[in-house]
Amino acid sequence: MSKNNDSNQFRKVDVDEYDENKFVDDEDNGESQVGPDEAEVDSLIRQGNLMEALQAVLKNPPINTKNQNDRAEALMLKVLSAFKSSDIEKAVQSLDKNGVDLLMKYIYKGFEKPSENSSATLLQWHEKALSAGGVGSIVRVLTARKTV
Amino acid sequence: MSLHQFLLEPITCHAWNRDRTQIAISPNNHEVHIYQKSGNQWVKSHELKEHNGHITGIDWAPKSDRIVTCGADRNAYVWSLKDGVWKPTLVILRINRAATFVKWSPLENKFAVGSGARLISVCYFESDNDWWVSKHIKKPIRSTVLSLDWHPNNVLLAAGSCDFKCRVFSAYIKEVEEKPGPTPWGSKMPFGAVLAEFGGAGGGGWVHSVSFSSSGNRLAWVSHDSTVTVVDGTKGSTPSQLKTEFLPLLSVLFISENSVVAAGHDCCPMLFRCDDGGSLTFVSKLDLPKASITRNISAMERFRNMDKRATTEDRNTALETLHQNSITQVSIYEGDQSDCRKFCTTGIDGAMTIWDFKVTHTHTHGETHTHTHGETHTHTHTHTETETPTDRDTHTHTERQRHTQTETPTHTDTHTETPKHKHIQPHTHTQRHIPGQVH
Repeated sequence: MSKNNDSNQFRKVDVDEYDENKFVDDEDNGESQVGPDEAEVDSLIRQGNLMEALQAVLKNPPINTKNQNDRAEALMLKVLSAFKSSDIEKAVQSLDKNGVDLLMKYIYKGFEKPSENSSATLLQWHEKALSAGGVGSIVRVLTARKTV
Repeated sequence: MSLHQFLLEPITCHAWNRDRTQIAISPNNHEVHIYQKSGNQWVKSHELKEHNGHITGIDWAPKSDRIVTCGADRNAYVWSLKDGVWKPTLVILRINRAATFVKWSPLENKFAVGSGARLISVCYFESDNDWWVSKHIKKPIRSTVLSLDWHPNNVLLAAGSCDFKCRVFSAYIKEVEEKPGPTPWGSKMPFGAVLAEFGGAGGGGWVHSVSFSSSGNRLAWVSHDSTVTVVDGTKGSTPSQLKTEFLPLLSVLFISENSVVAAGHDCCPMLFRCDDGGSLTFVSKLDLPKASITRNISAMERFRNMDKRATTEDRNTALETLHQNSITQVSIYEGDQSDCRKFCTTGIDGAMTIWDFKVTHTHTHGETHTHTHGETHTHTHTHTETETPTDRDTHTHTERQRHTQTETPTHTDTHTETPKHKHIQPHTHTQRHIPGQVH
């Protein structure tokens, strides 16, 4: 039979882009949230002032920006692993509600890309954060559209 | 509180008539069943079969005794009782997606239907042509409308939708009413105008339910990110949000100007308090479960369990709460929105429960629970009794509610409370009928 030799480019068009009913989220892009200050957090860890380090790394979470997210996540993991198991509970108690939610977001982000020892520490943190924030904090991780 | 199990099908929605002798429910299908109270039982008196798709909303107008139903078949019907038979009248909503929610306005001359077509259809009766006409509110709704509530002035309409926002619209129809006076939400109110918009901004979840307070000055909504939010129109427009630690709530209701009851996937109604400064605090869960008694199992039961369930322990699979599945709707049973004494919940477990909500009483209700044992048990038991008589107006109940408590049996703190403070008193005859449970 005859073959259609015309262009097949139309097959690569994403039709959903042109749907006028498509929901476009309000993007708060390019915010001044630059991410936690690495130097500051590193120095705090070295000094052994872990509570402060935790507070510092939770400040200014970079929202929706790709490369900064990974840096922040790596930093977060460093801080979380630096804690001793017995201190985790106290650290979680020192956070306020928003802090617990943010911690939960980082924990789940960490679960997504496991490294050798990360899952064990993250699970310990998860248990303590869950008792502080309840299932509601996990629901907020799932429903949040601004990923950390 | 008393629970009635209708059938095993989920109750999608329910509506009461004016004197609460009849209830209209939809058992998750195309029909509405009306049950009549006779003594302690509920007897089915009517079946309303006209819809071609699942019924998603029912509302019963108390004064004019008309029922409006809306369904997934994109239609709404207004039913009137004639000679003991409910006769439907079709309402052309002009939507191309399912209807999700329907509510009569306070004066019952209009009703609003939310739909998946990203719009709200406000319908009023045009007597010249003897039919119901619908007008649409479209902008700026960007997704399915999940819930509606009317303001007491019969003009303003709050809508919660899946685009994570809660909005207040004007549904002023000049054909059926006078121009409304100014309200804290705004003074110019042409039809379809957005007077306020809350939520969104990258956070939040679908807004499952909205509720105006009885004065209309406060608006509460619950959203899928497990939060409850209240905004006071008279105090500027910063909403006060409470991030709960529970599963998302599905239905919210003001039961007094300062108290909000919400229920949802945790199968248990919860009380929140909104003080005059506008900030929201969690008070307590209203379902006080019986203490889990560790009984000694008889040998017969042990072998029976081994046989039936391959287990040697008495593993109780029923939930501790009265409802065995999510609660989808809360409605007022006795009283009104400024002072509710009883409210009713229905859920996916097919049960309807009526809860009491008393104003003042002595805290001797601790005895209805079997507190005679002293062992520690995990008690999701939340009393508002831990407050001493000295803390009066700052009812900041910030205690975390889920923790193991060893309750001492001596719980008689008799307060003489100021009437502002409301407490929950469960009745001693808690008929906890959990179907299928063999003891």
